Amino acid sequence: MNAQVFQALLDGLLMGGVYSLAALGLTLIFGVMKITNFAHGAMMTVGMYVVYVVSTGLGISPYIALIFSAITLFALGYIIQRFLIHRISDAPTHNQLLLTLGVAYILENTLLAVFTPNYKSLEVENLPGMIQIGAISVNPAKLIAFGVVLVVTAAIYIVLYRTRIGKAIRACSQNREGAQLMGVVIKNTSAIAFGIGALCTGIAGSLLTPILSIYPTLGETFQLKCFVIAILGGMGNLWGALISGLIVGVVESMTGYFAGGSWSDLTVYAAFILILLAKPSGLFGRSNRREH
Amino acid sequence: MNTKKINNVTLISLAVLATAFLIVADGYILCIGISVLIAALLGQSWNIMSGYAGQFSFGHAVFFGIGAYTSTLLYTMFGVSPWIGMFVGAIAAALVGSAIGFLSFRYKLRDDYFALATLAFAEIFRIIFNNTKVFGGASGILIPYVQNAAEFQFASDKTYFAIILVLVAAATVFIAFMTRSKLGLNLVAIKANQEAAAALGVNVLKYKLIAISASAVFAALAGTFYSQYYGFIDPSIVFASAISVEAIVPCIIGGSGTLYGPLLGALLIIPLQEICNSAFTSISGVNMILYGVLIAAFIIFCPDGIYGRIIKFANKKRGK
Amino acid sequence: MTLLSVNGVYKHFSGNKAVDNVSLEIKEGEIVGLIGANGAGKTTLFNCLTGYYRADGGSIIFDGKHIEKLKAHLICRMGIGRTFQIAKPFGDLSVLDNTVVGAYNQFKSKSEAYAEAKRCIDFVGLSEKSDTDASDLNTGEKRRLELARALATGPRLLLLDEVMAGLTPTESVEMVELIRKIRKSGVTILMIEHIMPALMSLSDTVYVLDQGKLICKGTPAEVSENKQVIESYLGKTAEA
Repeated sequence: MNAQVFQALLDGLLMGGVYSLAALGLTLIFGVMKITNFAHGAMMTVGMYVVYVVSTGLGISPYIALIFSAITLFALGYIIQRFLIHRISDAPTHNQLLLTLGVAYILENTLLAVFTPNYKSLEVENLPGMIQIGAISVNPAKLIAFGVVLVVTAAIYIVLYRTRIGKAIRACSQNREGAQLMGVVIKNTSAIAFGIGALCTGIAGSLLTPILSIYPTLGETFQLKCFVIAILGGMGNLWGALISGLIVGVVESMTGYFAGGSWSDLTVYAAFILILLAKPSGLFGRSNRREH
Repeated sequence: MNTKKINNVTLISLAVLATAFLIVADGYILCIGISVLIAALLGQSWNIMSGYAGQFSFGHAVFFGIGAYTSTLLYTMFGVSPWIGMFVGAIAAALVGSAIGFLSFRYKLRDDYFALATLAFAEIFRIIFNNTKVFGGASGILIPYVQNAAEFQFASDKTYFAIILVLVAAATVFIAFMTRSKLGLNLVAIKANQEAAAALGVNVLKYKLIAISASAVFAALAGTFYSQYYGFIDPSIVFASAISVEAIVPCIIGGSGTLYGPLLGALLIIPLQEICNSAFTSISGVNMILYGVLIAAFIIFCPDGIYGRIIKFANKKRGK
Repeated sequence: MTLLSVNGVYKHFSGNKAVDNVSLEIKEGEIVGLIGANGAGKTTLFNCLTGYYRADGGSIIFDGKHIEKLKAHLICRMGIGRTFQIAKPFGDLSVLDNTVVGAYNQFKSKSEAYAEAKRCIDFVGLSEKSDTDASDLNTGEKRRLELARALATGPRLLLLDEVMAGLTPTESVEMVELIRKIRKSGVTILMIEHIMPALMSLSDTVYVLDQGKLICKGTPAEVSENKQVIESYLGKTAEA
């Protein structure tokens, strides 16, 4: 394997990690509430701006500002579910989808009104330039991002599998009525699950802030990508989302390398449609697709 | 009042409004009128497939873009009049719609999964047109200005208004006939429960394909009109998800699956956005915040839409 | 004359034998009952017969023609109508329009379809509710609507999936009368039913399904005396 291909592979893998985290949030929200969340990309952008504002305002490292972003996004997600989506939990699924779309417009354009459409970028102090390993160079910000993704994912797993609220969330995702009978308060559990989902995408956005220039509609780019990953992994399947995120990251950067960057999204979307048609339960079989 | 009476009253009011507008309005106001009608046409298009037949599309930009590009490319490359290109575009969109529909329905995609598939198809078209030099690539196509009625170009915006009005009327008449025919009944049956519809002898796949094709035709007509009126198209305008959303929102606000709902929805949302824009000239995004708030508010408080609510209310009163 | 013959049909769901090598025969003009505990595979068998599922094996011959590979709407067109265990009315449509959807299966012209639909609504005794939205009907009326719709398709064989479930005793009695009337009009009937007295009084032949397999066939009297049946099904109902 020549160095450039290896470089593309590595870049794809590192970016894929960030996608994984964002998609983990999306698939969690779908798994528990069966909601196709169109506000996911916009929530991600909110996470980016929180990091930007806190980091430049307080003069602290974005990796510390990330904590503020996580808290804000959890609260935002909780509120969206508890006070908006919950009100129409019996409505047809496409109404819930449209409600999240409305929320996405509100979030995105509030950012636009406050921060203007101009690009903002964040300089991270004390971060070395490119790390050179032989012919391969690695952006340290991407490396840190990947590391944080691993830590956050592990933390989410501990919450979901080792705590009471985590068990309640998983119970809801497997059987809502059953969980209700067991005394799980759906309203609160759903809101917490949505909060955790929002937190995931917020952290993912935060991790991208030192890497990309941010602008209010940046999240749109990631919106459909998150759906692709979540469905590839099997909607509601957490492990699936993680692995698919890496796959999508690699496919994207490989296509970019071999065919040019402007085609990379095409491969991803075409693969998405193929998966939808051929195996809507995703690559890993287990899924929570709504039965009719 | 029953549904029929409400429909008649609405029809007369809208006709009077449109005629008066055509006579009186000019300049900026006329432009807004045309925007309203483009949104109304897109809305009626979405209404056929998603409002009546229940197949939720999140990618109507595909059909709009195909209409816009077909007539424009035929004109700029081969000199074919957009009057002809418009119908070629409509047929092309219907074919693409059937293909998307056949794939999706054949593999039993439903609800949100179908919506996501249509969204992905729209994105694929956008990327393809963005990267294809012969189609003008990302920089788009400027339609040469000749001001010749035979080539779908007019000196006065009033003519454009009249044309888009006729197209909206055609879509509405189509839906009116549809709802009174076997086609409409079958579509509503499929929306309610497709297994039950099939058990009554309805060929579900065939009727879904008819719905998506008819829907595609009207969206494509809107696309051609758009490119002729504005004189410029590029992939990130005509294949944008913003177009797909513009097809949905008039239906949500006005009432999807109702005859005049999308018209009322467009009549409300477009002027509101314009007012917002002129009130907050220095801050961008306020009109879209309002857009988001309206979508969320209607979904939560009035999911039937304005017209749907009126009809339900009237029918309830009658029932008592 | 045999109207429907089912030969060795099976349907598996990921290893679970929902319908296991079932064969049965229905003669024209008969009322045939199909009983079995919950999960015995009755509805799955119905779904195979009506093209909602494709059987994994075996043949289904209706009126001399193989139908096991046909899609649902084509099976309806061949002359098999059905109702669903959970009534599935088209809520936004009136009772009349609901029924017209079925009638278009027989008639191309609008006026004929509406005339037939009206006749069927009248037949099931729902004419007063003709203009009511289907979503505003009560359970009993919804069942009648299901029957009217299915009849409007012009079936020679009608598959009834628990049409008496959830009905009041009075409604059940009326339903039994209605089913007799349907048979008298020349329609053959295959019915799944849990209400034993009703089923036993209506049926000419009864088949018993247990865990996907047919375990007994006979007249109502024969079946109710069969030991295996009593053990696996009737006994349990009696206990319950």
